[in-house]
Amino acid sequence: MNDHDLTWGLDFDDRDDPSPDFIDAVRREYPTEREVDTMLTRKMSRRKGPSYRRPDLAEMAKILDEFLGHELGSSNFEIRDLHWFTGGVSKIQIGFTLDRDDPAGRRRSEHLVLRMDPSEGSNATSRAREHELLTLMNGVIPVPRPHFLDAEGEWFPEPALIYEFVEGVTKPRATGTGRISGLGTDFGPDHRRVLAPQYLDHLSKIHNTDVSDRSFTHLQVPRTGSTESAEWMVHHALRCWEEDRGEDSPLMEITANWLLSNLPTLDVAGVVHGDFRSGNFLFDEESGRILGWLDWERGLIGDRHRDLAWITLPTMGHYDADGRYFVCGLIPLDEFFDRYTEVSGLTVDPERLRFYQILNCFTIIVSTMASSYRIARLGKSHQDILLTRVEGLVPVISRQLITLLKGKNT
Amino acid sequence: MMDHSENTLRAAIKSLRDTVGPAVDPLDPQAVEQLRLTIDFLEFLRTRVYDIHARQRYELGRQMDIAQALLDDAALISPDVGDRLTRAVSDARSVHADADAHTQDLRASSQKLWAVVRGVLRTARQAPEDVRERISTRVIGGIEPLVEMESAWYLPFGFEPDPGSVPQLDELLGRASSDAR
Repeated sequence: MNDHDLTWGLDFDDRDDPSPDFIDAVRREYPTEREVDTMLTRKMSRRKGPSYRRPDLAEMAKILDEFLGHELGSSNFEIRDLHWFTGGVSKIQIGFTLDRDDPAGRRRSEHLVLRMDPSEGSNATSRAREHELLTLMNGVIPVPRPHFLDAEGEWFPEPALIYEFVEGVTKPRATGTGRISGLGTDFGPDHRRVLAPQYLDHLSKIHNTDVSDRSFTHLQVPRTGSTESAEWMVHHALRCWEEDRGEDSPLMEITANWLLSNLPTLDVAGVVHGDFRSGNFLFDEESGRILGWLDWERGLIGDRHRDLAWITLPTMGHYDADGRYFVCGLIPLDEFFDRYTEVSGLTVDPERLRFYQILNCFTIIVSTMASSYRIARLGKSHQDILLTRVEGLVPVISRQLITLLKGKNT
Repeated sequence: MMDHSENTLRAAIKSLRDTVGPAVDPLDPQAVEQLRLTIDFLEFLRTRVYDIHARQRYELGRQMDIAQALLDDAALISPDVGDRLTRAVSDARSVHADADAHTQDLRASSQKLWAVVRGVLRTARQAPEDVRERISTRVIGGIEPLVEMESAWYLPFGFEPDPGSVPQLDELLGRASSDAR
């Protein structure tokens, strides 16, 4: 047995300081998209580095000042009102105001958000890719306009993206639901009526975004008529499982076997948000208008069923008092797919939906049981204590997974 | 003197809630949130600290059940795979039967057994479909008691959609004690 025997090896502690051989062995075993490969390889190569230390705001203001000076090619600007945002599990977010002159020479104030990785997050994702997706979707659906990008962490301690601050709330102020990241929010009947059609319209626009005549730097378009899209996603999840976990799970192993044996083919390549649920959009509480879709870090180009499967998982929506399940807390599940097809013109294939539901359960367990464990063990994030708490989701998702593997609907 | 961990945890929680909490800057939402999560976790640990050993014993027992159920199919994959699993089950059984086994011994034994089961499941990727299907069915059937235990263990975290359907932790751990006898 060598130090990267992925079949029989026993030592999980070596993942704290992975050897180049180990990193390469996992890369070879689970090839995936170029950008994902780059991010995961970066994560593993830097893992033995120091644990996360929260910078103070004065320190961040200084870096911001230098970075914006470089980006704007001028020192005629001012940064003020830096403050922490809470709620981001995987990213560090700081709000600030930028005062600068517009082209006509008038002083303007812009409210912006700095979104930066911790030393290691529960999803090793790409700020450059998030920037590319926000640029692509700007004008298609409401998203914060991206302004600046430090893709490699050349200026900031880690890669960072700066975008427009969007006003609004993620849930009605009166509700007590949706406390953890907006999951399970009860919007109430009045908000549902206004938000649901927008939700479907936005989902439809994302999935119908034509990517065939575009070229991308950080996104990759999988071939239709092939299993490439599904394979990239399965390998991504398997790679994280291999790189991060501190224990074994036969349930995860048989799921991996099932996924690898049941890869579906792609019919239409579209944009996938990756986490299109309550907590990730902001709306005006009075009018109910959606003002911005956030958190594109799981976004990709691929199979729409990945999104549809994610948002219809029982943990993502809301059950009303009668036990009726509302997708994203907005649309009854028994109406959802018909309404989606009606609005989008896109079909829903139950078999592909099941495949992606199983993959999504697998991915959530990777994140909550494996990645969260490793990050907290090494003190790599600003939210280690919260990451250890989400371990409590593992049995909930495991039950859903078991039900799906038995061929039943969750 | 008896172990006073539970009492000390109570004191730590009180200290954080009554003394440290008011001193935290309310304009630092992350600090406020993390203090709350820390107190919550200490409270959780207070209710679980004397059950950790019993949980470990329960888990090893159920893991042995799964491994045992896979022995015939492991041998069909290859004699080497079958032998590895047979040895691992036998080692685990010795530890589980040892009333003096420390929590760490049980934990190490679980890890070793689970690593061999992983090896069996990965080599099964190349096995005939009927063997793979049978192995999957046996793992799914055997894993449910372990998921049940995790649900009961983490119930205070508040993620369970139907908390009333989760079995009592004492009941499950009682089964573990019976196994040990």
